[in-house]
Amino acid sequence: MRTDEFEDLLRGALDHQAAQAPSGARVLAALAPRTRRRRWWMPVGGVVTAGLVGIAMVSASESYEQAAPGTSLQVSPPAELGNVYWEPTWLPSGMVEQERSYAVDDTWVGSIWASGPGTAAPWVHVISVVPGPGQPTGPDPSHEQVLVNGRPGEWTVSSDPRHEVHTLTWWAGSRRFDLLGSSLPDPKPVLLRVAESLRPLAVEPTAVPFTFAAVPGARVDWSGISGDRPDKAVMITNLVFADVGVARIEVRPDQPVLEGARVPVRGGTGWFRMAPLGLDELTGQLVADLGGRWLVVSFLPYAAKDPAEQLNLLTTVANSVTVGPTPAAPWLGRRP
Amino acid sequence: MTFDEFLAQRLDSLLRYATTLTCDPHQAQDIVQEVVLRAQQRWGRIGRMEQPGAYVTRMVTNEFLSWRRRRQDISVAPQAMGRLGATTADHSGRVDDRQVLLAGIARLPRKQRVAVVLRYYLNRTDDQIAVELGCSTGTVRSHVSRAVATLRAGLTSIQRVEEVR
Repeated sequence: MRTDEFEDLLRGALDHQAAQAPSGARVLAALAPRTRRRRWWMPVGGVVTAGLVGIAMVSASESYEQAAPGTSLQVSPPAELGNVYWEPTWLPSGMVEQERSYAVDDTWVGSIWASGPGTAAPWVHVISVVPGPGQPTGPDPSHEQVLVNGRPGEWTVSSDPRHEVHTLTWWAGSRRFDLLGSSLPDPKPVLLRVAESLRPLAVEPTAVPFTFAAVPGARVDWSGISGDRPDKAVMITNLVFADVGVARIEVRPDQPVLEGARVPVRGGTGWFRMAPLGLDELTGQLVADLGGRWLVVSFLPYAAKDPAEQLNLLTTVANSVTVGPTPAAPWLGRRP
Repeated sequence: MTFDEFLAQRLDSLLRYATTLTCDPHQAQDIVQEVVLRAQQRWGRIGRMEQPGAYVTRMVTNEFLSWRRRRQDISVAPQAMGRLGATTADHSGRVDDRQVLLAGIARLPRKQRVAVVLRYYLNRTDDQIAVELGCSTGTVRSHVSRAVATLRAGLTSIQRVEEVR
């Protein structure tokens, strides 16, 4: 057995052993009475302090017992989905947070953790979904069945031609969790361990300040913030044109590549080019200078669409958007 | 960060770490319970640290080492290994190897065990492990290298037995 094989086996054994850990709720339950018992032995001032701590512990343990959406610790999430991200507390070494995104209709929130830029580097995408009417509420029997934190789930591998994407899906309470990963050395145990480590993280809403004048046939689908560092945050939003394609609007702090035809946009001059950014069709990309920031609008058509049509559509989108200040994103680049 | 927030974020990872150290979920729970109670009492100071999680993790390590000192009779019984639970969705060969490895880890001297867990479970560097154990980097390398040699030897001997069968 080669050294790297042995080390993989050793890591797998330790991961397996770690997965047998008792529930945190048991420790909390054991802690609360001990705290109360010790209170009797403390001086009066200590009694007051311990009382406050005791109340905090009791309220904490109550909240742990209310709901168990996908975690072994049984932490109940705050009420508003848009304010809650499910944060991994364990990830493979080197992975940092690179994106938070949310559906504008509050049906999902997600975060992306990666160990480098681009889609070739290992990444993990955590998505918490509120399934809509008619959507599955349990695993598809035709898929590989797995247990995630004791809950029914399924394991699937996508057929993305550029790289394999593994997906762990499970249902807990009224939610579905999708945990996607790519370029991971041992994807199933890694994703199972990440799934087990998920915790709800109540945060200020990640509101991305894009507003649009009317764009015929379009609706805003999702928005987010991505980047490697807090001072390099990129705002993103996506406009869906039914049956036509998706326009992705980004506001970047750094100047993108300025190539292609010079075109009029937003009362000035922009750059338009066709680039192979998507999987199949060439993607039109329009860049405009916002004065210190850069607007990049790309279009991924569902079917072939000629460059002139794409330019018209991108120009309409670029001219219609109003962009507010980039929100602070101190979490960009942080480890779990 | 408040103590409650810390618990919500870190309690399960502390329990998992302690379980890898002790090879016994019940001992792990006892150790983490002791540590968390002490951390709660000192939270005014710990909570102001830059990395309270790292500090409490070190408390777990020290508790494991001192726990073992206080209770020399503790060893991992076969039934304790059995309690580690059934395996799911895995290749059978890997499961056998894994069980041999887990039994081997449980028999390692305590500092070697800590070094192996820190290296291969928490992905710590030699320098970080040295800080955790309060020893030199060279000593860490020695712990890890001896532990790995022992575990590999255990695995190899089992494979030879399998071949003879």
